[in-house]
Amino acid sequence: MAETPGYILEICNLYYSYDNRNNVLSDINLGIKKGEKIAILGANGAGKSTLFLNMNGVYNNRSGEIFLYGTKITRKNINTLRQNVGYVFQEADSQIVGTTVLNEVSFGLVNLGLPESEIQKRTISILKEMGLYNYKDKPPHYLSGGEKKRVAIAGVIAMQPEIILFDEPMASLDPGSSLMFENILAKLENEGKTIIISTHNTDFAYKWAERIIVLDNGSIIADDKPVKIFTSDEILKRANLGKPMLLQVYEIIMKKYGKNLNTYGNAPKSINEFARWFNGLTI
Amino acid sequence: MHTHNHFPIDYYAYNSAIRNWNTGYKMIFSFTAIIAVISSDDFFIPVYTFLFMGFINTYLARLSIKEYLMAVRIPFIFIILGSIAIGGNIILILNVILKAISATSAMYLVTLSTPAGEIIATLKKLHIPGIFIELMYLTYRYIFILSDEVHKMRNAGISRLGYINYRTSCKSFSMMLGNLLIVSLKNSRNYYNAMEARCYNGSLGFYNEKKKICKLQVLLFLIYLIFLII
Repeated sequence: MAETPGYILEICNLYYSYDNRNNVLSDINLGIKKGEKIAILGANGAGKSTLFLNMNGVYNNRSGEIFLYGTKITRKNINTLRQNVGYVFQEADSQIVGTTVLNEVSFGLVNLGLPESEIQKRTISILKEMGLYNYKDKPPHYLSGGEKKRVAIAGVIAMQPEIILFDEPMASLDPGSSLMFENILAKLENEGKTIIISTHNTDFAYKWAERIIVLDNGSIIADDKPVKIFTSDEILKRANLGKPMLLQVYEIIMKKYGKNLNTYGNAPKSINEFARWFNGLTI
Repeated sequence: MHTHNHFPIDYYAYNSAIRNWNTGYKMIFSFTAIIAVISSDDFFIPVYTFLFMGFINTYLARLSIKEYLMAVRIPFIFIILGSIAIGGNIILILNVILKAISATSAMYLVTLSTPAGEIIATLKKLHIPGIFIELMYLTYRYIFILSDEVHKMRNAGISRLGYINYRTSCKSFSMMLGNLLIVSLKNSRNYYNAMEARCYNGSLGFYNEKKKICKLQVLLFLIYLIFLII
């Protein structure tokens, strides 16, 4: 298949197997445009992390093709993929290699072979941007979980990727750190970054995403707008996903007052939207 | 901060008031002192070095005498026992003890004030082979991750009465060791992936801020040398 214009990243007929027998990913076809906000849903073992490792180029023995800005990725230019598609791992501790925060954020830049003055400039500016400047000389093992996450994200953003993959970013964050994470997301969106988040949290996916991809057993079983995904009982059942709370509440209210549920055009996505919708509801 | 994940020497190094001193300077100073102590044949140089280093390690590095003594306690006990084991006359034993303690205090000029990462970065400048440098970096970083892991497993064991008596403790401990190996193998794959994800291509390097050598430091070294020669 040839690459299609308009996509930053395109994946064609991707298969991946760890043992050459069972496919962990089968026949993945995906096109990603600039500035998209995508959530990837799927049970444990559905292949989310494996897909991410392929998208970022860590796994390079796939069958199928990946195009970045229309250029086919091969073994030779794999580092352009790794640089342009940043990957924030689920466990910050397994990502952090540096012995201080400053070290850690500079790691990717040193690997890119940038001149030292540029590394210094970028590292310091990212540290300031992420509110980590005062931590720059601290070692990772004296940081809290939320701080480590921020450091891990800073280390990826410093490389200025176009697409950023987050693997279950809120899995072990306390409410304060989750809020901080959502602020970082909003900032990245403003900068026009493309963001892909794998998550089990359907409430978050429903609220945040503009597009949802559902993985089941290594295959994409749905790729659509959130409302479409979450109103399809078949998809929810097959991938074992729960319907977002707000959507359930919306449906209950609509049913109780005998309203037409055919269109979900005004279904609220956040609690603020819900309040606005509910208060304006005429019965 | 996690208190269980707390190695005093490491902790002091990160919080030392002389951490911002140039690492190369500290290493040269320390090494010179160690050579001087070892090659000395009287009591003056070891005693003088011990006091001089003690002054830097406590007063200038803002470490309380108590903390300093706690940090030097273990090697000192080892030195004293080891020296007695050598045998010989009292003067010789005292001389060995004094020299060893003095040299250790000089070494602490570096270890109590310089985080491991910075020492390794300086060794890299000395063109120590890359493989050793990387091993040092990774070992240092993962000591804390593994110690965290051990702490969790131990707590999980204790919570299920795995350590109630000597026999169960031995059994639980050996199970924990086996488990630790499996966890490390599994994690090592994740760590490697994470490094590759950020374009790691076989040479581990970080950016470090430069540390200038100020007049006070040069003066300090000169004072030490002058008294040494006299």
